[in-house]
Amino acid sequence: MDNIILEVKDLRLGFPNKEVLEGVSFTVREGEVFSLVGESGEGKTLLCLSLTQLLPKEAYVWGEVNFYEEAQKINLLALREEEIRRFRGSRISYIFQESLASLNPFLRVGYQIEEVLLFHKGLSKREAYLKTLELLEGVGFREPQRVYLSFPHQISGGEAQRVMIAMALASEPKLLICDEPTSNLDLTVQMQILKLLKDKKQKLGFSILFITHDLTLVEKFSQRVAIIHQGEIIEEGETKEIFDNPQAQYTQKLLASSFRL
Amino acid sequence: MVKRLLRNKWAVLGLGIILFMSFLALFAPYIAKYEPTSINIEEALLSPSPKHLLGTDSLGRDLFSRIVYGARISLSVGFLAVGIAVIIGLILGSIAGFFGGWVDELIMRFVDIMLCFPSFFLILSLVAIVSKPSIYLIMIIIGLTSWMGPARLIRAEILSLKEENFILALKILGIPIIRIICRHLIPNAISPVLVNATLGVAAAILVESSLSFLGLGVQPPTPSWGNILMEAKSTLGVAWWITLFPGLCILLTVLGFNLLGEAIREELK
Repeated sequence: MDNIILEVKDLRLGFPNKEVLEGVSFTVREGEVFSLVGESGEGKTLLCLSLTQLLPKEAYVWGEVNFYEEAQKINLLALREEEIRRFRGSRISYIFQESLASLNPFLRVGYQIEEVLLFHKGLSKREAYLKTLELLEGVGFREPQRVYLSFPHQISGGEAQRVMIAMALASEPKLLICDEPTSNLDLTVQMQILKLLKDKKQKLGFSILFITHDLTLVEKFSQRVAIIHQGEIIEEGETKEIFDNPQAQYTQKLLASSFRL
Repeated sequence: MVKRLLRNKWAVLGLGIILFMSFLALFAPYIAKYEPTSINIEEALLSPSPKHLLGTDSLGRDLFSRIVYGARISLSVGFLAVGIAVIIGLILGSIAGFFGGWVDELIMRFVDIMLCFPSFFLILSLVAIVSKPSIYLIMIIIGLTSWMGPARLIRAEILSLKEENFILALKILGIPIIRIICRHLIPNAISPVLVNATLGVAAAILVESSLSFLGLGVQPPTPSWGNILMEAKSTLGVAWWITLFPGLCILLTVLGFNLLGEAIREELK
């Protein structure tokens, strides 16, 4: 359980006129949920994008992002475009906040999941179709057929998030990056989605890098946590320890201001 | 959308004209009683009658047969020229829109340059370079001088679409850029191009007729609406039918495509 899967070392990124992250380091271990907590505008999303070289052109990024696979160390930031593309969506997958907007409005939902399977797994059309239905069933849809044939405007936000999870898991990733996956959803749906992610993680054994500003979710969901403030990680450790005994002043403030269950 | 289009009477009229002309063109050998090129001097310049529905021309060729075969030329020139224009436009427009920067700048300035030429004169000079223009060459030349509209439209659509979240999501899922453009961007951007293409068919038919009228298009004896008109010039005083009917055909077909195009544009709003 203690094998490291992702190691971020002294990552600096920003734009020519503004530094966003000033040297961030953390590690994600195999099979755990690691949370990054910070307010909006701290560059959490940029951090996620930078891991697979998806920052906007004008942004810069320095440091190391090491991905461990079969005892091999791969520096993701040093890879060329065609090499990094084999990581995107296959070994490293993403789920976002705006799940509905992340689906192509003109294509049936099923086709979009199939596309990942066709591209990353090299399945045949028929196999991809069956696998898609299986995936949809796996994320809790009772009528996978209906969802398969739906257009994005015909499903709800919660359903769209399930579809995104199915899509992200289609390629059996080693690391799933969840960027505020539940922010736009009702509380009950939030819990369902988190439970689904937890179940899937147990079954498939991937790690989760969980990005959020919601401390209640962190407490329930993750083993370790890091707090980002003003471009640096100010505290990092076991979730329980940090919640019981926060060291940094900012963390104390953050905890005091959040509603604890 | 198709349903709503069918409720629009102008769209139905336009579509009806197009289908009628396409029907004539497709089944020309069965509809026409005479060979369009068979000369019969004894029957020259006959006015419309049951034997020759639309009369005959100065060489005694059956005008109805010639018009029916002419529909083949006019429609195929229209469709293929626009097909070529749309394909070039799609490729260049989507490259310019998606990649931006100097690529965009280069392609769009080239578009501007092409737009500077009055297109009909450009076509005329291109046709003049090749001494004997074949019908395929005319299609290609019309296509090569009318792709700028589709290119601009597709570029504008893609510029706004590529900022959408789902495009970023696709990149993040590792889908290759070519596939993103072909399967996700172009289908979402195609509708204004569709309108443009429908109107473009009408324009291409007109250009072909004009070229043929000037003797630079389809070469006799192959009939096209334009060159029937040209040959009718000399007999205009005695045989009104030879100019009237091909003229009407051009008018109706162009009208049909324009009506349909406008209706689709209204529907897309």
